[in-house]
Amino acid sequence: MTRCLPAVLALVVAGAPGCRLSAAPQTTGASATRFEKRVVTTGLENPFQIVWGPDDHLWITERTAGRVTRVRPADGSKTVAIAIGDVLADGPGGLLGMALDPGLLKGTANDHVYVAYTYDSDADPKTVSPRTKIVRFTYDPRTHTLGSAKDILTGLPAGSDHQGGRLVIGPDRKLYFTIGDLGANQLANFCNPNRAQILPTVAQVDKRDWSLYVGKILRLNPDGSIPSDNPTLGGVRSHIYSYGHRNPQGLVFAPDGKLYESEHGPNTDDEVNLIRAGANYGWPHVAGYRDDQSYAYANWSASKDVPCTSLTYTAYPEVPPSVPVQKESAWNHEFVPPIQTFRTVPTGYDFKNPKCAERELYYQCWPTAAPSSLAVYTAKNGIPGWDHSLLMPSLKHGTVYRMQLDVAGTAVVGEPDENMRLKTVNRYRDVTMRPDGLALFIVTDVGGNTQDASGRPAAKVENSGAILEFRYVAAQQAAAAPALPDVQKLGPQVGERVPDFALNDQHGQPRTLTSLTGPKGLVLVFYRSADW
Amino acid sequence: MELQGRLEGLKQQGLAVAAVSYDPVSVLADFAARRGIAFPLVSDPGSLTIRKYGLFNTTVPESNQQTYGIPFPGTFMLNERGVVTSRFFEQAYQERNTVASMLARLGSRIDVPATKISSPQIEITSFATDTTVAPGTHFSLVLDVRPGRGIHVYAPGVSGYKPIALAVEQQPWVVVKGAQYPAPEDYHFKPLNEHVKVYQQPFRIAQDVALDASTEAQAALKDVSSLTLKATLTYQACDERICFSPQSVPLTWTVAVRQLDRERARR
Repeated sequence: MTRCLPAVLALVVAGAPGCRLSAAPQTTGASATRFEKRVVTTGLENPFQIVWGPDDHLWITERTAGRVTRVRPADGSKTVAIAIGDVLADGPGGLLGMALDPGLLKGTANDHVYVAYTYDSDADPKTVSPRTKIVRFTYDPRTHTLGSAKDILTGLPAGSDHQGGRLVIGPDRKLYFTIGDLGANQLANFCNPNRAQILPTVAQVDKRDWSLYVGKILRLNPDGSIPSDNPTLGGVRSHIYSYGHRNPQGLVFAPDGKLYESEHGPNTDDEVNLIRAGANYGWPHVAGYRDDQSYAYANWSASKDVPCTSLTYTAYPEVPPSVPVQKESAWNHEFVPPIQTFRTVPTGYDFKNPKCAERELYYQCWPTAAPSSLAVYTAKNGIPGWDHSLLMPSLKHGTVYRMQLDVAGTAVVGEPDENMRLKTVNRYRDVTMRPDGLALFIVTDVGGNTQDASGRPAAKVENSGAILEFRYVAAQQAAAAPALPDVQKLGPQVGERVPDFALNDQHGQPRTLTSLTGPKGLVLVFYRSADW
Repeated sequence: MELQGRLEGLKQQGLAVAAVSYDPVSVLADFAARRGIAFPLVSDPGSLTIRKYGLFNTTVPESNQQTYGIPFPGTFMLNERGVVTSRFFEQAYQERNTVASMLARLGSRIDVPATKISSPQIEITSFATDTTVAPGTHFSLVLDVRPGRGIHVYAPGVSGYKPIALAVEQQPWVVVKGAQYPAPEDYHFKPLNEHVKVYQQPFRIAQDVALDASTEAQAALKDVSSLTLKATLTYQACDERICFSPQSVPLTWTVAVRQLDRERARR
């Protein structure tokens, strides 16, 4: 696998492996695309998903409030479709992804909305056993509410980190759902072995033990059963569609049926992947490409002689000697590399950028972007040069990166565009488009760390729990507007008498203001030209 | 030109029409003949009158031979003594107010198809000032509202009651501009000794909209033959004794879309 480092880094790594050549020149001046920002609404409680519905409303899941809320884009007015009673909003959990049935409001008795959320799976009120479930609701267009809850799949893994949680419906009308590795092998969960590579046995599937669905993308029938054409992995057919994922929070189908995913990397190598049935995406053995750059798999739970629980967790490359470290190249299992990383950096990269020294928020300066979701942009008459792109919102950078796909949709052309004009001091959680593609709608977290205009960590967000609209401003208008004087102040004002004149009309006849005026007055038009 | 079509109606109101540009008489003669223009097109070569009116477009460089000398386009309504009674100028030079829209905002009756809607406590006559629009056309969606006997509705800005409001749904290529509401009257509600701004007499809401004039919009609208605009009118009506529950009335207008005319004069 050859890889292409970002241009600035390619200079640092002399003799980097052969760089992938762009299939087409990168769109020039793309970042100069102008947008007009509008705060559509605020006060949403950690919105996780935003979808443009067939009723021309924005459908939002509020993760910590456990609500599905419909918002009218024109004025931001909100209607709560449902407040779900048993949502467990702990850590990264709560009400997560949502997929609208393609038949919603089409009069085909398919007014269904699927959501995923974490809940307490044991009956004892004193203990909490978090699990995730996928539930189907039915929408009543008369009352604008969701009801008739039907469990589709329950008992899915949940935890205190790396929850994943994105839910989409494919063109095959199957449900696709992402589950992260629950943060195993790092931070508070550093002694939990990472199981993103481990696949369930027949016995586990028969017992409906879904505990090994961590670090996986699932594919299920609309009723929750295992599709008969799901891939067989290790001789077992389960809900698993692909595996070896870290924290996949972005999942989207392109109109041609290709499935794209984005996932958070460790301190490098957030990934954008093209998902194939049955494929392995390498985590935790490989982050990004199998290039032995800036990442190796330190397996804390396998600490030799010193029990893991007596160790203190530190981020790679600072690993205690008792913890076995495996180079990426030492793992020779077949895997599918990403189509884009944010970012791949050479070994020796300084992860302690002084810009982020204050409050030791070094991770904020790491080469990662913290991709919270993924969208496909397809609009023939949309923003010029944007058709057939992937849009990736970033928590850390408060922007939406755009990646131009090649014709086949199997590679990213050129470098991702950071879209400086979409940048605010916020954590962007999800993005959707108006159907014509000329306005983006972005939901933001209520708080958390992000980046200020100088690239330093910012502790306070600008628009908490908001929907931001970025309306595309056509270049021509944008260029013409600033130079114009206020035309309302030009020329004679109301109550003033206009100057007289003597000019010839189209017949060569001399005309004056007086001769032109009718008994009650004159409509006097000034126009550019009759010639062009 | 739309003005030509409105000539008869304007004449009945005692208004004449004239249009000023920097074009030579020959170009105007050709244009008038091609388009059947019967009102005076006056020629201002050298743009002296345009300058005298303070409308000379100073943002066009002299090196641009085609456009140097153009005015900031707009329309004055003058009384019989040449005094401005109202004026219509657009910030975006591609946009033009239609005559019908200007007249609607002045309160005139416009001869276009209208829809009558009976809603609780009020009667609404709804129309778009223009049946055909092009990119850059600035027109109006008009509601003539007649409150029932003894009924009042609340004016914008009122709190405690639901003020009347027209909300146009956003849609591609349609620029929703300002809305014009008439000056309200004061209503004294004796039991509460409350003064509040209301409408009790027939009144007009003129909501201005424009079709985007950008090149992108022109390209996108190339194969579009009509557009339907949607809006919601919300209001609350009361009489001397009781207030009725707030109402929400869906409204639609459909306008035909035509392309911009780019034919030039023969030389």
